[in-house]
Amino acid sequence: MGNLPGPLERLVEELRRLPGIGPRTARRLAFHLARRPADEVRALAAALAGLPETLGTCRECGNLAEGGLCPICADPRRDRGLLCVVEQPENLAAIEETGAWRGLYHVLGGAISPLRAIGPEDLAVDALLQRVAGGGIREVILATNPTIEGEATALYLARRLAGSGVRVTRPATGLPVGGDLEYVDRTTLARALEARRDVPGED
Amino acid sequence: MIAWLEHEGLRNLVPGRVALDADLVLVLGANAQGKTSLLEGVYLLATTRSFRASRPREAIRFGAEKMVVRGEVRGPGGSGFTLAMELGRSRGERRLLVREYPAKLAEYLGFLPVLALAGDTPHRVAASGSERRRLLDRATAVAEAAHLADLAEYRRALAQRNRLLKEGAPDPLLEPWEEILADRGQRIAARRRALVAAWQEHLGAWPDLFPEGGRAQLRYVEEIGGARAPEEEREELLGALVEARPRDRKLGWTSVGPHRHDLVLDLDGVDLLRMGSAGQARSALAVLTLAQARVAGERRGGWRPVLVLDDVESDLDPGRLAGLVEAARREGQVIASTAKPELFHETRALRLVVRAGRIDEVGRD
Repeated sequence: MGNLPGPLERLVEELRRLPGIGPRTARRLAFHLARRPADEVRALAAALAGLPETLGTCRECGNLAEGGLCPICADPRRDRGLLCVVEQPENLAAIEETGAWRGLYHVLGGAISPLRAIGPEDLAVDALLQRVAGGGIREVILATNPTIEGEATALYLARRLAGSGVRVTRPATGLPVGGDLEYVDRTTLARALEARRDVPGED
Repeated sequence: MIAWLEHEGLRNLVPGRVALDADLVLVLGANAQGKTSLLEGVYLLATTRSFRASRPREAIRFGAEKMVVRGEVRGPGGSGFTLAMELGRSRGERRLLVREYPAKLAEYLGFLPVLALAGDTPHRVAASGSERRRLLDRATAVAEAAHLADLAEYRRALAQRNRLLKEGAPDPLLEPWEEILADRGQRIAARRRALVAAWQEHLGAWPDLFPEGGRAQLRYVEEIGGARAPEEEREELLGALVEARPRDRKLGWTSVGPHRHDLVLDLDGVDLLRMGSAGQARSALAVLTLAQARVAGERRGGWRPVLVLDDVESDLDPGRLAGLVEAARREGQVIASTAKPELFHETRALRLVVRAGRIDEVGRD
């Protein structure tokens, strides 16, 4: 770039580090911010500046939290016998949005991948085993991502949890609701057909 | 069939649109004028791969930023839609379009089933097991979309296990990857095995081209014991992986599984696929290509495949060459390049001539 005033140039450089932001989008955002009222820009800056100090991880589940416990772990109405294991806090947020889950979570911090030098010791696996050994958990749902690394992580955890006395499950994969079969990608469709279930009849 | 091909930045070809709407398209011209590049363009459009280069980017014209191939696929009822692929020089610069809408690879492939038989196919097939497996996997993927996804996941899991083997990781870390390899591996092997059995049924169907076809035996070579219930096959593959651990740790890579399986075409104890370019091997491969086309056509109910025949005259005598082209025409649309137009004087075809990268229609009968 080079032809931008110094402060704007620095802002563009910082914005470019964000996921999904290319050089053009970074410039557009920077010019947008340059035109906004000073108060608005300061509010954004304050929100950013406060993050490292105020945002930590939940000591129970590893979710993002302000203070020691995240709102989910602190909620007494949650079913403490159900534990849903996810890779990242954003996966947790996606499940929360469904409103279908009333149990607790456990955030691993990633998935096993030897090619990226990530082993079980780099993830919150021991913490999970300790939580389960601590008692009170009836079922662990291994909701790692439907990638090959997520699947391997689930298989690894299933083996480690075998013999712990808790039920271990994995979410089903299949067809999206409300879609047209024509628009489902063919791999998903083929796998959903392989994993078909009986439909109960009237007899 | 493919009705036309539009291309830009494709090797030495002058950008433009070529009509291909005929049962038989003969691409004529002297050597090194661009005949093969046109055939390559059709193959690239259908498969995103090249039949003459290991990396499709090698087909981008020297000095060009990108290559675009676009074409119209026409079904048995005459209705058509477009496919397009844009390929840039760097990784990640690939766009696939179906009806002008972006599509993922698994969605894109299979719309235009294409089989290629090129002058150097027998050499390639003879030289490497991976070429023989590719032959199986491309044909399988045309019929079953999930095959490619299984292959990609299998390769990824394989790379992960190999890394662990090199690092000397303990067994519990190998186990999840072995389970995945056994699961995807079983599906991959079972589909290939079924395909080989289907091809076998047709090998004797072209006695003029390959008189020994009735006696030749295609075999899918694997370390596990052939077709049984999927769960049993999976268990057996898993057992083989566990058993191979000590050896694999020494090697630093995985020595069992579908990535090591092979295809054999046995005639009286000789494997014709490994014989290279001898006339008999070439005839056998030609018949194998026809058998693939027939199976692909049967599986896709009326959507006949496109057969790309590039420079196949090298080792076939004129009679067999004409026989191959006629037989191929009965199985699907044929696009064939030849430097010997005199062999096809009597043949009804759309004729194109390629000179210095320019493609001109010179006749249609």
